[in-house]
Amino acid sequence: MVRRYNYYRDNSSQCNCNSNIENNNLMETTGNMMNSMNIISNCNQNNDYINCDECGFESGYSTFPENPIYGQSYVPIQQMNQTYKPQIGLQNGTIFPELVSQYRPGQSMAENQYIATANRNTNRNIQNSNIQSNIQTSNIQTNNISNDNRNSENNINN
Amino acid sequence: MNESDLLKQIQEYEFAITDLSLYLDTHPNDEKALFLYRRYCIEAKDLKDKYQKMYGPLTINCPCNKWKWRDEPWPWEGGTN
Repeated sequence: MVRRYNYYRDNSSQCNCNSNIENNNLMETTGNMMNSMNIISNCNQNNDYINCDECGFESGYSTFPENPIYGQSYVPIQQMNQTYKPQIGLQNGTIFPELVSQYRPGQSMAENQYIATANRNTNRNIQNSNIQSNIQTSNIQTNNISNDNRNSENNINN
Repeated sequence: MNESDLLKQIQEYEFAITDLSLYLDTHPNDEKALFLYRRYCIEAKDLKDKYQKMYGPLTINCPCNKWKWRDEPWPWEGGTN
């Protein structure tokens, strides 16, 4: 199965958080002064988010479990790192760079088509390999039958 | 800073507070988010106090010496209050 999240990753090859993250004018910096203001940080003390990099997703990290169950939804855990300043946040609809995603008209249709095509190709490959293995099995069966026939002929002769 | 700029800034801070509150709902122990949340609340309150002193009440809950509420633009006149 093709996974939705990977589709976006393949096509855009990066999430939006990397695009503006270099521009410090957009980023809230006061959160980084926490330690100097004697507020002890407890985040990232455990290993809950060990798979997260700066945008919350490690590259190649799948948001789906290995064997996804149909009809279940999966939400990756977000881990806050940098945030936009309030004025940039309102423009983007979120203060979290990793949540910024541009809407493209018809994007879900294109995505569905991609998934359908990719799954069709995968199924075709599976079917092809099944047909080949069936042919081999039937050859073996034919050999067995002819052997049986020979044996029965031998029996008659005896 | 004129009235609309100040109002816009208040909206920006209130939006940031709302967005942070959504994050904090699922990450209640994230100290960095809590820090920003507290800071933005203070900033928003300061901005709102400043606005209300200069331009009149933002909500009906703000006490004023004079009844200015009905003098503000109504929603169909482009007012946001």
